[in-house]
Amino acid sequence: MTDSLLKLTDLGKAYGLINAAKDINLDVADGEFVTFLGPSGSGKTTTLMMVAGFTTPTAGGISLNGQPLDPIPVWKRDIGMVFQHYALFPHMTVAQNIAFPLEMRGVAKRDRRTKVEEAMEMVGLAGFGQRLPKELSGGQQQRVALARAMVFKPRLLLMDEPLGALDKKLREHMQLEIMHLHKNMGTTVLYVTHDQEEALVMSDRIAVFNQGRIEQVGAPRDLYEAPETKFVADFIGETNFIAGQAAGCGNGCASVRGLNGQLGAPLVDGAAAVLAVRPERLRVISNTTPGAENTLTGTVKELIYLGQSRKAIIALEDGTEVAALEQAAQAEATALAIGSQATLSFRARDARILADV
Amino acid sequence: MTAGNRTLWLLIPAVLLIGVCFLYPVSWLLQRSVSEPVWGLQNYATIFSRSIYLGVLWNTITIAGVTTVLCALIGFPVAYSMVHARPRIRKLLIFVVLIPFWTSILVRSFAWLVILQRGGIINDILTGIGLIAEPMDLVYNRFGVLLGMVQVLLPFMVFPLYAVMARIDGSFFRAATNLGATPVRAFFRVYLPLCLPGLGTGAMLVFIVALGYFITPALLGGRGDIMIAQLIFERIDEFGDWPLASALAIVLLVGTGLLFAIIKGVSKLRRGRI
Amino acid sequence: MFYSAKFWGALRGVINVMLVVYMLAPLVIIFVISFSSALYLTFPPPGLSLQWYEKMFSNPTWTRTLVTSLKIMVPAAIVATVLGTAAALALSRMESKWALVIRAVLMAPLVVPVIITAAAIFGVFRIWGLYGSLSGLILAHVILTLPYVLSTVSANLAVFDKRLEDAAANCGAPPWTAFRRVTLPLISPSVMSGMLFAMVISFDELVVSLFLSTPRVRPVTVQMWSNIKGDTDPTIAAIATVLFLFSLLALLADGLARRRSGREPGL
Repeated sequence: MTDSLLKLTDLGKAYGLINAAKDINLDVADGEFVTFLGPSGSGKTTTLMMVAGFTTPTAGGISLNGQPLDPIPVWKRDIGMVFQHYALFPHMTVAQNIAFPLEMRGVAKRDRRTKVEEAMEMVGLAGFGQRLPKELSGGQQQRVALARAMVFKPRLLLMDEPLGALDKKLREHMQLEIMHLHKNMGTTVLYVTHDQEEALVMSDRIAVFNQGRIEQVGAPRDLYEAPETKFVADFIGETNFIAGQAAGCGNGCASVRGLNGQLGAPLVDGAAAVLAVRPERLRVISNTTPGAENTLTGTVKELIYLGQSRKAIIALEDGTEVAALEQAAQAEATALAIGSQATLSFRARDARILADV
Repeated sequence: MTAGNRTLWLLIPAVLLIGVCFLYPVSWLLQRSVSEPVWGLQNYATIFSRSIYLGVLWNTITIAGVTTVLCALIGFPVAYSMVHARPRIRKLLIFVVLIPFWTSILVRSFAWLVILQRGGIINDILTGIGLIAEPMDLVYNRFGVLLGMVQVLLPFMVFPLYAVMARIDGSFFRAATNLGATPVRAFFRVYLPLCLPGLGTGAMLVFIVALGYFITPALLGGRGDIMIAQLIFERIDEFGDWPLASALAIVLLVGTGLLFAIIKGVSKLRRGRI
Repeated sequence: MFYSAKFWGALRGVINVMLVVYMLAPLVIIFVISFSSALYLTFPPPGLSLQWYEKMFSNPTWTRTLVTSLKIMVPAAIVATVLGTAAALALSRMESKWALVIRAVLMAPLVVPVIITAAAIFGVFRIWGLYGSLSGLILAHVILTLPYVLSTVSANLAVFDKRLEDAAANCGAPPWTAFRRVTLPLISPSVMSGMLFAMVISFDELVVSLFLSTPRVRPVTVQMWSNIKGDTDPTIAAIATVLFLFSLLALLADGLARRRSGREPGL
């Protein structure tokens, strides 16, 4: 990426012996929507806070537009931020909250007013200017926070779990609104969340964090279809894991327990590995089908009716349970009963062989 | 974050002031108590061997103790009543109990003086209606001291009790009596034990604060009610006897410090158990 | 009878009334007597007059000592408020374990019996030549009142959302601006509260003043003390009423400030 706006190079933050973030390398292109996804304590917020300037890195550097950011204090970074619980100033009205960053930049009073009006219009809060934050609902407060972070047209907008406090329905609605705002304004966004669905819906690219490091960066589709580590495969979506030893490694392919798949990352023969395959990639076949590759047999333990699809939980001989998801029409064709034997098959290119850690 | 270090300088003036004008003077007091007339503990030995000083120490402990008991006896029903009062009345009661925190002890002690002295209001009224022939001695004695001190120290008892009682479910009496306990039994077996933490904290606070009291006993007490704080004042003000006054002050300081340590320890234990 | 709600209700009523009488009656009586037309302390007064207030304001002893009290109170309360607020801010941002120790040290004058503080300060101030001076009294009063400011402001800072300062910084506000525009307005009710506390404590203070004052520099409480120990006339009731009204006014002002900021009434 040549036109990268934000560049994180070997970035790290250590508290004593504990690494909150380590070896973070990331290029963010202008206009891109990048999400930091990971469980709590994985370093995603620490990294965001280093970009914002609230946390001083102990290793590596950050540059914005080619300029190193490290010597610039928070208040001069010109980066907008939406805080986790909004952090609206409770003693200021909505309009005063939104005007605050403009005021700090010495924008003339008249300009300020029109820009505040525009920002409120943009987030659908026109006419709410004289209210105090505590008089607004959670969703409305969220919009104020958004307007305050965007009113000065920052090159980069940071969002720290901005939708965490909202209920599911409102959250989904706000996800779409934020995406639209991002498209219309063309602002580059760094977005932190622990909600994988949210990340898949909103992002151009996702950086998956685990234990202070980035496990994998990629488009949502790449992460889902081609995870490079077991953690990523497990954290994003539902996956079946079959554990064993890697064999026949080479040429991007390998096998585990005689089952073939594609290598997510280089492995050597004999290494502990898992074969990861998504439930929707498993097909139930009749055990007489000849020539089927990659077959698994086991006992049907549970059948879950999901309307448009059916999920079958099947216990393999060694006790490993795998889930197979079939579309309703397909499911009707393969009549299964609890307690009966079933054979599953998958294509080698739908399975990933990953190091087992 | 480094924010903590950037604002550290804000502490300097306050710490400097307390250090120079409080910690140093107190340590100076400690030093005088053990260095004059010669280095040693002779001043402390004097305090704990002469009957006048032992008498004052005894006065201090008994007055503080009786004040504590009286505060508990009065504070308990008051706190109970506050918890169960309607919100408006509760607010009024809180205000009333808080008034001593805000008004000068001098003013209140003076008020008691006006009411209680031989030519005071109570004696006037009682002799006026012929209930007594001679005015009674209501002040310049133990009674006056206790009346004044209990009034001042009551909040220290009421608020910890109030905090505990407010957390006890109001329907417990009904529940207990429903289970066959008489109200008296229910009170002693269930309610009182639940209130004990508040009662303990309140009692300790009242006792500690009472130990160092000066104005109320000085105004409302007689020669037989001299407490340690008055003795310190007298030794300095009238005799300039710094070594002994310093030793007395240190005795009081250590006593209060020990009691505070006990409170802290007990509340830590209690928190550890829960 | 024991079981009836009526009985308990009535008993609570009696307790409440007795409490109010015990806590307030002395003050009410002083208040009434200060308007007495009699020439000596008697209750109920035969008639009403303002003679004792006239006496008080025409007697230079009282006016001078009242002014001295104010001259001590105003600077002491201001200095205590500034130092106490600054210390509370610094302590709230400190993460080291020393914060607890420093806080305990700053709170010590509240916990240590006043007589000890008074004797110690007197002893040292005499050596330093601060005995009998206005500045000595002011310094001593700052020591006594600073803990009140520290604790009220600290209580407020404990519930203050520090991310608001982060948000201000992120909006482009340098630290001092962020403090002035965001932190200060949000903690100002408790700063006010602490200052009122400091004023009342200073104005009513007797023990330390007793040690440090001389006939030339003498606050009103010390004057009252020496008069009560001698002969008493209703002028003292008038003075006491002034002191009491001052406290009451401060208490009401504090209540108002708290209500406006929506906080619960505290101690």
